Amino acid sequence: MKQRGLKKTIVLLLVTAMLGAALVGCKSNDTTKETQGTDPQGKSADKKESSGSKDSAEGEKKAEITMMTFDFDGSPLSGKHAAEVLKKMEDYTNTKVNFDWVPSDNYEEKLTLALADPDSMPMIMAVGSMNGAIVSSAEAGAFWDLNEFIKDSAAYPNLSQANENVNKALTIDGQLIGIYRARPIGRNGIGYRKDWADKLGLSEPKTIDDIYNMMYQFTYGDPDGNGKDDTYGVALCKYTGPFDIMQTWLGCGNGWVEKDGQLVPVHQTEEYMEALHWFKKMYDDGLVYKDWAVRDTATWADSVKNGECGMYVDVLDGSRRIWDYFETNQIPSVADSNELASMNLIGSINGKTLATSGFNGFFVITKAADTKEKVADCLHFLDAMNDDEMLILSSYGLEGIHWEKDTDGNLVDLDLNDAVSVKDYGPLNQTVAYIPNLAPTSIKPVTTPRQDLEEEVKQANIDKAVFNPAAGYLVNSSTYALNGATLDEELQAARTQYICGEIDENGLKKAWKNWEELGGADVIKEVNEQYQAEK
Amino acid sequence: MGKEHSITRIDPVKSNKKKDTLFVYMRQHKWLYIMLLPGLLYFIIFHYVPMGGIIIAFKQYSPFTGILKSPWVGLTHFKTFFAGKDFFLVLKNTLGISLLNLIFYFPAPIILALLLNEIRSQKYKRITQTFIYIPHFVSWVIVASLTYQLFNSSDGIVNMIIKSISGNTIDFLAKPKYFKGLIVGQSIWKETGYGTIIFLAALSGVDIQLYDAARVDGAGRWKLMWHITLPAIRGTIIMMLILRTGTLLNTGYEQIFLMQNDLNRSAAEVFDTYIYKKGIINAQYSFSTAAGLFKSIVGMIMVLGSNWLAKRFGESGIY
Amino acid sequence: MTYHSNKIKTGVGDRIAQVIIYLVVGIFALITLLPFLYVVAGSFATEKELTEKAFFIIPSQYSLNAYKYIMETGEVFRGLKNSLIMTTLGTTVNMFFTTTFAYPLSKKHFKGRNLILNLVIVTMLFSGGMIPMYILMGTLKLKDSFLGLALMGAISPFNMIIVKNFFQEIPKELDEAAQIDGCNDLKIFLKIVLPLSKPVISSVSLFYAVGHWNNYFNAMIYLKPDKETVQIVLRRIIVLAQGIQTDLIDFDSLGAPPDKAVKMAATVVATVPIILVYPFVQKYFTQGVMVGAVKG
Repeated sequence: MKQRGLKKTIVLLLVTAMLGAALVGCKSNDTTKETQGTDPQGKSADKKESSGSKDSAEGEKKAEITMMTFDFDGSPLSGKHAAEVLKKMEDYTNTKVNFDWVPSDNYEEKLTLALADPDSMPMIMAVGSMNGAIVSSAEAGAFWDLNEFIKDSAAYPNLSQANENVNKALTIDGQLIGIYRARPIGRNGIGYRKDWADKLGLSEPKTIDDIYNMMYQFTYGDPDGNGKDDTYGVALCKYTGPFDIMQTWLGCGNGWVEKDGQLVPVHQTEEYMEALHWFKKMYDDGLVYKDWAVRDTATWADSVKNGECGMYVDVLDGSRRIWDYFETNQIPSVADSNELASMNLIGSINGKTLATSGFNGFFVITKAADTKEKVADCLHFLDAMNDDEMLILSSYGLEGIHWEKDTDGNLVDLDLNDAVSVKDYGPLNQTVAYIPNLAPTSIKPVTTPRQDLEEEVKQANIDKAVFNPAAGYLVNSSTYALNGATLDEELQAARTQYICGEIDENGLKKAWKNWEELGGADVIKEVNEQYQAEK
Repeated sequence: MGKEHSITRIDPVKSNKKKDTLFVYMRQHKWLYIMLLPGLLYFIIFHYVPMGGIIIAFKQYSPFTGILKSPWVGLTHFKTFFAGKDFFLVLKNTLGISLLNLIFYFPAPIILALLLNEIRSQKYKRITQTFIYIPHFVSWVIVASLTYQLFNSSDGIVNMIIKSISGNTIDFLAKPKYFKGLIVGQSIWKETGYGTIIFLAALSGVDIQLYDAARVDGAGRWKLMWHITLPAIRGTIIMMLILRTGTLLNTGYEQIFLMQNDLNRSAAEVFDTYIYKKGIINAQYSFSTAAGLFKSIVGMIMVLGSNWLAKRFGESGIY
Repeated sequence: MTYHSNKIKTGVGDRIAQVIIYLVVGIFALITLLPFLYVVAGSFATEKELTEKAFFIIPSQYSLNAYKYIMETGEVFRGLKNSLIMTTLGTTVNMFFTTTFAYPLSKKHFKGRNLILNLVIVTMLFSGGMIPMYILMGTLKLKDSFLGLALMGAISPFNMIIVKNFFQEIPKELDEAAQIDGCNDLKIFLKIVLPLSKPVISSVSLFYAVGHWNNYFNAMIYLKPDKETVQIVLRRIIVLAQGIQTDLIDFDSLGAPPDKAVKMAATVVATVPIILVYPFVQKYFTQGVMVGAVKG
């Protein structure tokens, strides 16, 4: 009886499963092109927009596009003055945009779902980072090759200035599939407690030995003067980014370097081993807290804020924010109790620092824009959003309402701490590529001296930043696309374990061998194939 | 003679009789079948139809290309899954945690429910019940950060106590051998309270008069528990146990991921994090579907197996 | 009404056992409560105190900034309203489908019982994943609707089995008595079985309700902003607060929100409502609800 029951079950299962596959599969491939703007996905949260969803709306001269992008906000563009902001944007760019605001938390999943349902795919999609779904969709022809479009500097004065090197990371099978969203290249550096340094008589560090000395003094010199041995040098946590930055100070490369005409991953270089020895000494000498490898990223900056550590190695704005914290909370300086604690920001040591990739996310133009005219409309919108007037609009809002000019002609941000007011325009941020300018040039905002220093240092870093020559090739390496996360983790874990003394140099070598077998060797091959082809 | 007649006549009529019985039954109990309909439709539409998507596991699925048009790759993903160097380590870790869960985490709500049942003061009972129910709603992120604060070697309370006794601290968070214990401990803290609900509901169905009768016979507290209370919830316990075996290879992804770090990796990589890193981060849905299929098959075998085992011992199982 | 109302014998041993039991339960309750107290305290604390102190129950300095931030930036009230609608609608749908489906399956003589139970158990373990479901919901035009979300998860096989097993425990004599009186299956179900099933209905309803209330992922995938539930709203507030700290969001013209306190305040707002439901449901778990069923 049970046997028959089971058999019946299996048969029923198979039949329904096959029916199901047929039904579901059919639907996802039914790519009848509907009129843009009539699909429910395209309607934005703002009620005002839903009326103009057909072509022959009031803005008949205006181009009409659909766009999906990050929502960090909750009911974006719905504040008191949002309608004005939106109108200004539409008039300036001559485009009506039907937004699909997607909460950032699970954006990747929603992106995949959008790709799986070509009927309701928007024309422009913001993408956080390259992943397998994007790569395979690109190879399947989901996106337009923008190479043929953006070279036209007359039509796209801003986008045509996109950096060639950065574009490489967005090129798949020779097709440029994205407009990147720019970020400062010189963002990485070190911040240290200036008041501690002053108290201990330390000057601004320039070499790696200066850094070591500072760490040593911060740990054993009792900078906070409480007689207890409770301070440390650099703040670390389970996120191992700081090591990548510090490695460049010791002459190591960024991810990959060229050696004898080939590209090799940095862990195969001598400089890497030297750097690891240096880190191990730092750990063994007690200059960082022993349990750094288990500490959570969320509490990383805290250890500097609450006086446990004196140095912070990451993006410079991170250090600047710690400095802001001291100001806001009136933390006293250890050198002079009438003053406040402060940070000093340094971009490079030994003349080197780690370059960022230069971008954070990108926009793709999907085949939902089914004619070249529609593609031009999309690109025109993206291009126009980088003009000064739009940069001001998306960063600061409307003059007289959200900001105003002071007597020097500088921009005073009226709603600096008013998150509600910012909702009127803030979300527009997510449509800007920041090519070629990261900020408006026609007007300067009033900034704190801390922000000024940060900007200065970041600018100076541009020449000193060490790039990753393989950035553009990893994207096209199929092994890396499948296994990249595991491979990177393998190297990272080995480094941590060596520094903490859990494995020795033999253990390291074993881990590297493991990395090669897991797919690392294939990645090296695939990267070099592309590298040689380009030479 | 008449008997022979009826015997020979029974054979050809037999099949008809069976159909008749079925129809008769259905007509007699037509409401049962009508009541079954909504749920049945639900399962077919919302579970079996999308189940067809499992074929992704045998294809190289790309969302834009779609399910039907993505190319077939047969068992490639399964091969990648099993041949991965880390597979056995991951399997070992996952089973290790599941086993500990079965031994420690599973009985906890039962024991607590029994204890709660013994409490005379309604007020005390109600208050404590509301408290123990709360951790179920606290997110794993907070649980992980609290774990850090309690167990770290610099200023964690647990280590302070250990230090004052033995003079040393224990590196709970970095050493692989403590990982499983931490995870199981967290689960117990978070879910025991919520888990008592179902057992308490079962206990409330026990006839009071059974207790009274037994106590007249001189039965003490523990005898009452052993002979009346436990048997009453035995069915529920067995059912929960069987269903649990079906999720043997599941550990949940978020809890483990938060507790992982570079130093305890050898114990902290489990199926769900393995699948997450290989499948979801890189949006390799085919791979994660294949891995999920493997988990499902194993789960199915476990459930059927343990259900059969339960029946052999005379229990009712889940059927 | 407890069953210890007539104390026949309470020896010393018994009293010690009683004390131990109270203690164990009490300690456990405290262990589970304390961390939550910290979360509540933290939600009223300043950023500074949270950075410097690892754990406390009473903040030395009060601040309502976190709650202010949540009230102003998130659509918290709209979220709570939507969560309420979703939870009520969802649980009702759940209970309707689950009880009607479980009842026939609780009859051992029901033809087709094993087949259907097998099919259901299979769905507990096998699934096609997020993408096929998404496409299906689109085809059925059920995206962006509370009803759609409710139907999508109308029956949890686990809960259904719990209900079924409970129905199975109801004495057959009641069935037979009713049939003699001429009742059909539906009448028996409505007039006899359901009223006797208060413990299981209340606990399973609670399970479903909690599930809906805590549901983040599916709600986020299928609902449009005006239907957002409170979990989505709060998660986004937390991400926003953290995003500003790490400059994920461009060029922070948005000011500095109280990051840690916001996380805690969000937890409090999201969990307090559903925690309050439990005491109301508890009374159905008292002993002896079934008494008199057979006798009477």
